[in-house]
Amino acid sequence: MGTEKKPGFGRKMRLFLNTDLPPHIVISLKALLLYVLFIHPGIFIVSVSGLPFLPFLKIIDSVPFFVFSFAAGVLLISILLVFLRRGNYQLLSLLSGLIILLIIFSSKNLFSNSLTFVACLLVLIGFYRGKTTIFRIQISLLYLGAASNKIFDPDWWNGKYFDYFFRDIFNVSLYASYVPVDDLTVATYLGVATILTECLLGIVVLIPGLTRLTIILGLLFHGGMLLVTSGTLSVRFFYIMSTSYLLISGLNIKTVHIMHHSGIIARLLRFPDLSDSIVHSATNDNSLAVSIGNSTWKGIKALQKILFSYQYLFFCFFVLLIAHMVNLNIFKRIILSIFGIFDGF
Amino acid sequence: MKRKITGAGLFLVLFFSFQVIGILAGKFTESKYFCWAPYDEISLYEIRVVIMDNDLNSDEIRRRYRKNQKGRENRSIHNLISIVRQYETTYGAQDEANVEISYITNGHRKETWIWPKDEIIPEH
Repeated sequence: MGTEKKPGFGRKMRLFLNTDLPPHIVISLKALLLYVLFIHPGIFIVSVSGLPFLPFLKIIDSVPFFVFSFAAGVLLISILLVFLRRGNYQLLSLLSGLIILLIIFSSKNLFSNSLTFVACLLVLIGFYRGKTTIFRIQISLLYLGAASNKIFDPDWWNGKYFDYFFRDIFNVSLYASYVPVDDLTVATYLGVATILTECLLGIVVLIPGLTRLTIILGLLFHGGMLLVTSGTLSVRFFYIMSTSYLLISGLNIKTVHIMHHSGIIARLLRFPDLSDSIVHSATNDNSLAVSIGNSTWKGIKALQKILFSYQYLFFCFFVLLIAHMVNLNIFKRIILSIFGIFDGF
Repeated sequence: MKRKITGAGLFLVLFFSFQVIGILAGKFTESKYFCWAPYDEISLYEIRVVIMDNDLNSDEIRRRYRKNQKGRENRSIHNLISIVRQYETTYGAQDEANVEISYITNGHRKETWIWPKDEIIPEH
């Protein structure tokens, strides 16, 4: 009696085979890795010879620097493999998350809440088995932790924090022009509202039936902060929380089949796909055709379908935010020129 | 029937437990690491370091602590203090440096942390 081995059977195979992660989880994974690559490139540089430096645990001081160099190298290769669509995504995600945590533990200077949260999400993607509970617990811990820290700080209840924050740190003109100096009423309301929102988000995120409400409330909360501070504060958390909401969203992103005789064009059209769910089907036809589900479109309509697919929309959303955070004009120009092409349709 | 706890399950329980411990511990510590406290307080600070009567310049201070001599701390100011304190008790202990970190947190009165006394002095 023969027992047929399925692909992926055995440890060696599992290392190199891609996993069947749903497209929205793959988008989140890649968005998180983009964040590490573009927003924290310093962790790769400092790991080469600058670690350990003032670690959280004394014992890490005795670890030689080349261990961190090696770890950073593995992290970089893991990220590249994911973008080259090679390897087991969950294993690479787990590995990346653990390495980032190790690097953070090796230096107090590298600690940041956003990077730690990214590392936690990457670790959890490694343990994803179809249920979103682990992501919900993680998001809940973040919000409840943040709320509990504010609850015990009087400056959040008497308006001192927000008044200083708006008036002296971020020079929010709207606040400064409408709220008289020494009047802490608005700042007090904002402080209390923040604590209540974080408490609410920490609870509702645990209830799968309220996922939509959680996502809307969360995006309004982080987006509102972004708006009030003219895009200077909370961009990082807006980005990271967007990826975490995507993880719990259960969004059904359908596979887009591109049919065109030219492999180069198909490859170009697949390039912005962070979800690995745009596939090329060979055809002898010269015109472009796109098939989603049971429907097929041709020509300009097909191109429109690709450009307004979830795959492209999420790519634009995350890349625009990354470009905003990196603040490189060249990226802005490239992205704006892409939108210029879109205007033609 | 008893449910078997897998290695992955055990890892996840520990993973989340450490975070809960971090949040709880954060209530009893001045520095706020691993307790999910982003932007809980904002401080503007300035570091001054004197070693053998020599005032270190901003580059020397950046090289020493990998922190800017002047700047903004978006987490607890005690995170910065803990970095400087750890440096002065380990890598830089032989320098016998005198350090002052002056800071204003949430618009309150200016305070100065001094080393090696490890004290916070409110400014009058």
